Amino acid sequence: MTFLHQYPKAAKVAKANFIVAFIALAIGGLFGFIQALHRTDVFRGFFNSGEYYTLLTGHGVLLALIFTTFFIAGLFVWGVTRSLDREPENMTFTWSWFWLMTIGLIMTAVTILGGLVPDSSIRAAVLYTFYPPLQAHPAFYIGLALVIVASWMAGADWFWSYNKWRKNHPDERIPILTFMALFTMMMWYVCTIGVAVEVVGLLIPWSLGWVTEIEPLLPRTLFWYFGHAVVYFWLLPAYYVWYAILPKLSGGRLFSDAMTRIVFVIFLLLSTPVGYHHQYADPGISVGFKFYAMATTMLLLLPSLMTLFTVVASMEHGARQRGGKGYLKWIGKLPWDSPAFVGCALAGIMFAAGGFSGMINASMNINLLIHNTIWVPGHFHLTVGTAVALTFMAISYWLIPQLTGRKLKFKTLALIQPYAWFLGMTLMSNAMHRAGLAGVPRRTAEPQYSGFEFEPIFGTMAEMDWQIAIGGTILTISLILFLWVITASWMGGEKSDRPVDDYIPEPLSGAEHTPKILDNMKLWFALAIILVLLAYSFPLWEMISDGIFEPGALPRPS
Amino acid sequence: MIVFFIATVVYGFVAMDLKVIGNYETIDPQNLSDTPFGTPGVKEVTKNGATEYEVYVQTLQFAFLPGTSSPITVPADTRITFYITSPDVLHGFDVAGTNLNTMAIPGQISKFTTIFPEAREYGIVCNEYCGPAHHIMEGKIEVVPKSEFDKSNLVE
Amino acid sequence: MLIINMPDETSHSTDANSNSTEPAKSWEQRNPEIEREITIDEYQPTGTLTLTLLYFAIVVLMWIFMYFVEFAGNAPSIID
Repeated sequence: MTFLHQYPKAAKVAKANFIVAFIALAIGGLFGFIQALHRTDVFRGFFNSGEYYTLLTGHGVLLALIFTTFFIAGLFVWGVTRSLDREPENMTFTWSWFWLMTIGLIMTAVTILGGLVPDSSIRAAVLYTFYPPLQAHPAFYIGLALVIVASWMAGADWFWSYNKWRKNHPDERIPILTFMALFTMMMWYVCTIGVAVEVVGLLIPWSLGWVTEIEPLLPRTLFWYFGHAVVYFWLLPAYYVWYAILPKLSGGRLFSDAMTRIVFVIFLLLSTPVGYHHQYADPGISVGFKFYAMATTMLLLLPSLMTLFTVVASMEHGARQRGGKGYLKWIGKLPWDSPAFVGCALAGIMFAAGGFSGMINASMNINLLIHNTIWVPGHFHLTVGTAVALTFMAISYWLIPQLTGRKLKFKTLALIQPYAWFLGMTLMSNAMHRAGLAGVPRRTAEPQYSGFEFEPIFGTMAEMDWQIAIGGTILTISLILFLWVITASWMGGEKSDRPVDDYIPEPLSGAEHTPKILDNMKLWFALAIILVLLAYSFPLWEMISDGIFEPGALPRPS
Repeated sequence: MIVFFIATVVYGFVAMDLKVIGNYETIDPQNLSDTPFGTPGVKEVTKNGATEYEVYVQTLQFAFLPGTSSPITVPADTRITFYITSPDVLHGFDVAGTNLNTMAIPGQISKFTTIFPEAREYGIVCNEYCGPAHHIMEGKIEVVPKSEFDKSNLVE
Repeated sequence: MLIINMPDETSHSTDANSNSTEPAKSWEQRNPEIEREITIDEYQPTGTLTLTLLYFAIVVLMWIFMYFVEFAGNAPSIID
């Protein structure tokens, strides 16, 4: 008996979400490969430099917004169903959020890809931050709004299951897999208010021509109200895997249930009031609020360092149970031949490196050294591009067999895949960080200028370009391996009652040692709202008090 | 460790003059001609009895005005205050290889003061995506020795 | 991987494979890859502590370098 046999309805929903996620991953990844070659001037024959920005928009939207959201939905359907031991309450409702999200995705994708059709009026080369006054086709914004609304419905679905479960289990602690999913979704509700107000209240009326002018700073600020919390919306499901599943894959148990819950509570509280740290270089936001954002961002180091400790301690526990000894020698006893484990562990190592560049980004003045340089994509290809994406890929090797009832095929290829990703990302990301220190900008088709040369402090520009191009190629090969292994296993893996060992042992220090107050969702949600109000009410008031659309700028085609 | 990081940032901010911008000053992006941005360029001002310079720059699709067709020429070892705004879309104003890096947002004025320590040329890069020809948007700052600064190109 | 009958933690009663005649065994005891079970009382995560301190040291050193050499030495800067 595995998940498929116990919860066939939920398995179908989770599989549908994963299919969409993997298609988005395939297309977005291909765009990334073309960009790596284009930017570095290794090969520019696929598209011209104007079309580059359409590909870049596709890369960002399909990977950062679509791949993540659908994968997370599938993962949480699995986790909530399993830990509460109930199928979704109403399948019509469940399928309606899935299809609504898919329709939104298709609308958005069509407007983006329209940019590759010559003379098309349907365009959306506005990148995934879609700052006005650059204007996309209205369907781009409407599609995004549908994806967000559908994700709210998905969250409501899980809260619904939880409430029903609670009626039958009035005194039990929230199971950890459900706890983490619900707290992630609460954070998602808090932060998506910003982007929903931006898209529905400002950008849709403006793109339809109901209002002509727009104030650029206000939507930008609302975007970043959402835009940093969204990275935690990607990251927390990776933590979900690291806390709940990785210890078992290492042969051990989760070190502490209490630590896990505390970490998720802190993320709910602090994820949103940090948005100005993307706007340190902006006029119109005072230094005091920038400082507040820096302080909250730095406090977020705390739960990530707690995660470092708890997750590594859980892995060490596994290694020692497998016979590991010494201060560091135990690392060799970890299952470095299991694709799911290797992917998660390498993702964690990359996250530690990405954490350091994140600290630089978060610090108000040193941020100016690297603001909008390619250092920043270097940073988030370590975090979302590896810590999150590689964890998702790795855990698919463990989840997909449970959902399909089929064993994994091509285990050797599956094992090579995470190592290849790690190697490719090491090459690409270190070069991006160093190029950023020299001042090379991000988001540009041709970072080669006629009037001056960049002066790198470490290495040479040519060497960095080659590392980016070669790294990007290795990443693409790794992605193809992943898609091949998953597709082959899904279609033709050997059928089995227990295709993978899906048992998850209890934590070492269980929920009975966890303070009850951590499960008080209303309290933490209210506190999160208060912290957001402190950060945002005054600056937003300052921006809208002279008129919501004033000082107004006219729309420009993308 | 967290406290240490915040402390170094504050120390840099207060004791080492490593600041960030943070003024709130709006402007109508469709009517820059009636403002100092209508005659962009380098202006001489006297502050606290010392000669300083102000530079008004428009960032537009896909040029810095001034900066692209003619360089921004300023003296070294002198306080220079930049005022930057955009009439169309978001742009970036990054003096490559330095800590001078700011956004240009229609409707807002970015203002910062700096001192160029040496006479040399710097490239200016637009580092925020601003449209299909974003990658050609670049400019130049020419810093000349204080004694050789030619005041005939100043604007009123 | 392991093909051993292990009850799912959420479905003790429904799993037909869990053999009720045997006394309850912990996951570790049923798992051949695990040499010995380590309980919370005997577990000292010294390796984790070592790794964490190592990471902290690297991060602080790199920070000092980035801030006081790379950044502060990268004039001109915004001074007001």
